[in-house]
Amino acid sequence: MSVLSSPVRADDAVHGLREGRRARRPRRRRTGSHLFLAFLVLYFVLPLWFLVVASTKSPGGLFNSPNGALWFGEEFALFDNLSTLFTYNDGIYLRWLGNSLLYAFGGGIGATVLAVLAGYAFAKFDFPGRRISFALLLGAVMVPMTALVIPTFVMLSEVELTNTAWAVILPSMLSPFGVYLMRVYTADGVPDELLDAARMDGAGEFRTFFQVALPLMRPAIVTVLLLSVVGTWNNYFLPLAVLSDSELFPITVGINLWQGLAGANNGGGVSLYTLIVVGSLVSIIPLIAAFLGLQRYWQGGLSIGSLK
Amino acid sequence: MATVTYERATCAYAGSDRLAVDSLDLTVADGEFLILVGPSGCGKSTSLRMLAGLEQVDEGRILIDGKDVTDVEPKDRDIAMVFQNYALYPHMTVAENMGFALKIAGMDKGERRARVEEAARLLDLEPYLDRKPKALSGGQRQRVAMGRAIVRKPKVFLMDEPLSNLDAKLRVQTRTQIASLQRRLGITTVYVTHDQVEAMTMGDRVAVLKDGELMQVGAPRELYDRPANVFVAGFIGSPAMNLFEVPVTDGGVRFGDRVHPVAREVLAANAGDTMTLGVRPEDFDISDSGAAVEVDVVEELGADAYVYGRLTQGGTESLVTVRVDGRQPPRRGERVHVVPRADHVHLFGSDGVRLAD
Repeated sequence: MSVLSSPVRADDAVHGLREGRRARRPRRRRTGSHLFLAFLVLYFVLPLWFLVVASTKSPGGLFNSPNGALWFGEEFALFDNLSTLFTYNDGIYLRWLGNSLLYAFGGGIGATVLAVLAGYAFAKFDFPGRRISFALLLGAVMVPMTALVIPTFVMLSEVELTNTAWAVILPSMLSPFGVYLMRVYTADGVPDELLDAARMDGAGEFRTFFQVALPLMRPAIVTVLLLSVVGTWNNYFLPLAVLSDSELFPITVGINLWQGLAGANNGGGVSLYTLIVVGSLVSIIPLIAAFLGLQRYWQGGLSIGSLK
Repeated sequence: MATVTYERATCAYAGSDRLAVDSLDLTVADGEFLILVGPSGCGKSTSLRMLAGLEQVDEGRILIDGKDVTDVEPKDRDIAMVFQNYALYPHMTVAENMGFALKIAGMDKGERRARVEEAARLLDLEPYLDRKPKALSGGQRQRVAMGRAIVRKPKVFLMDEPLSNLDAKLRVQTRTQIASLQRRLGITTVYVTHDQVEAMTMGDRVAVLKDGELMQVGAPRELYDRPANVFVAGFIGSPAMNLFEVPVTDGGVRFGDRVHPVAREVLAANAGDTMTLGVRPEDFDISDSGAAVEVDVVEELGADAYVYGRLTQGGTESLVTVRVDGRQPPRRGERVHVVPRADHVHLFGSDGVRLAD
C-alpha cells in the first residue's frame, strides 16, 4: 500500500510545488502595478475624504484645525452644519436641490427618450439621408457642449425662454453621444430577425418597438439615462449662462454664488465656507445612490461604450 | 390551406447590378412541401423573404391562394416563418413566444392557452412552457420556433434553413420530424436550404436556384434522374455527379478508349464540338478496359466504398468519383478501368443544357 501510494504523494508534491511557483511568480510581477493602483486610489479618494472630514468641522475649525486638513477637528459639527445648510436664507439650498433634481431628471429622461427613438431609427430603418444625418451626429459628438452654450443662450433669448427651467431642460435633452450609444447597441443587441419575426407575428411597427425591441434595449437605456442625468446634474456653465434668478439655480451654480459671497465676506454672520463644503457633500449623495443602484447596468453600459 | 404563385417575381438589391431574384415563375400546390435549394447567394432566402413580405418585389407578382399579395404587409399575409437563428423573443417565456401572434390577433386568453398547449404537446415542449429561451437547448429552441409557427395555423409555412444550427445527429432526426409534421398538418410549406440531402429527403418537389434564376423544379427523383442542366446535375446528389468535357466524334462522344453512342439528331442539336458527359459515381462499372483511373483516396463506408481518383482523357486530367463494392475496394495508388453504364449516362450540350437521352 505504502509502495503504491508514495509515488502518488511525490507526484502531488511536485504538482503542488509547481502550482505554488506558478501562483507566486505573477504576484511578484504585479507589485508595481499594485503600487500604481494604490496611488490612483489615494489620488481619487483624497478629495472625497477631505470633503467628508471638512463637513464635520465647525466654522472655526475648518481653517484652524490642530489635526490638519485631512483629519477630524476637535468639534464634531456635522449636524449643526447640516441644519444651518438647510435653513440658511430661508432654506434656499433645498430649493436648489429641488431644481437640480428637476433639471437632471427632466433633461435626463427627455434625452433618453429621444436617444432611444433616434438610435433605434438609425439602427433599424433605412431612410433617405440616414448616412448623412448620422455623420452629422458623429460630428456633434465631437463638439463640447460648453462651446454651444453661448449660441444656445442667444437662441433661447430669441424665444424668451432664458431665466426659466426650460432654458436648462431643453438643451439638456439633446445627447448626441446617447443617440450614438443607442444606435451601436441596438444594431447588435436587437437582431433584425427578431423584428422580422414580430412583423410576421402580426405586430405593427409600434408594437414591435415597444414589446420586442425596447425590452432588449434596457441595458443601453439605463446607461444613457444615467449618463445624461449625471451630465445635467453636474452641468455648471449652461445654467450659469441662461439663469439669472437665484431661485432657479441648480446646486452647482448656487454653491458658486455662495463662493462669491464668501470671498466678499458677505455671509451675514454665517460662515459660508462651511456651507459650501457641506453643500457639496450633500450634492453628491444622490449621484452616489444612483450609481450604486444601477451599477450592474452601468458596467454593461461601459462595455457598450468601449465598442466604439 | 393555400397555393403560392410567383409570377415573374424579381428583386434587385440596391448597389448591385445583378438581380437577387430574376423573374421567378413558380407555383406551389395546396398542401405541398416545396424546397428551395441552391448554393449561398443563389437567391433562395430572398425568394422566401419576398413571399413573407420582408423583401420588396421590384417586378412581377406574388399570389397566395390566388390573391395578389405583392403589396400586402407581412402581418396581413397570414403566413408564419421559422428563422435560421429561430428569432425567439428572449424576454418572453416559451408560452408567451408561441402565443404572441395570437395575442396580437386579439384571441382570448383561454383559447390562446389551449392552442399553445396543443402545439406544445405536438412538439414535446410541455415541460418547458414557462422557461425563457436561454434556458433551452438548441433543439428545444428550434422546436419553439416551429411551435410559434404552428399555433397560428397559417395558410403557408416559411422555413429559412431551420436545421442549420443543429448538430448533425439532431438535424437528421428533426428533418424527419418536420417532414412528418408538415404532412400531418397539411399546410403548404416553402422550405429553404443549402443542403441538397435535406432537399432530396424532405420535399414533395425541389426547386434549384442559381444566381437568382430557377434552374429546375421537380420531384427529387426527377432531379436526380433527369437533371435539366449541368448545374443541377452537379448540385444534386452526394457525392456529386462526375462531369467530363468530351469530344464529339462520328456517331457519339469519345470517353476513355470507347465511343459512347449518341443519336444523330442529338448530335445535330449540339452547337460545339464537345459535350458534357455526366456519370453518377454509382453508374460506373469496374472493367478490364475503359477509362483509366489513378486511385488517390478510398473511402470505405461499409457496404460501399468511394474511390476518388484522376482520370486522364485527351491530355487533360479530371477528378473522378466511383462507387465500388465495399468488400473489395481497390487500394490507393492502384490503377483501375471504369466504364459508364450506357443507360445511365447524362449528356449536356456545350451550353450546359440537357440533351435528350
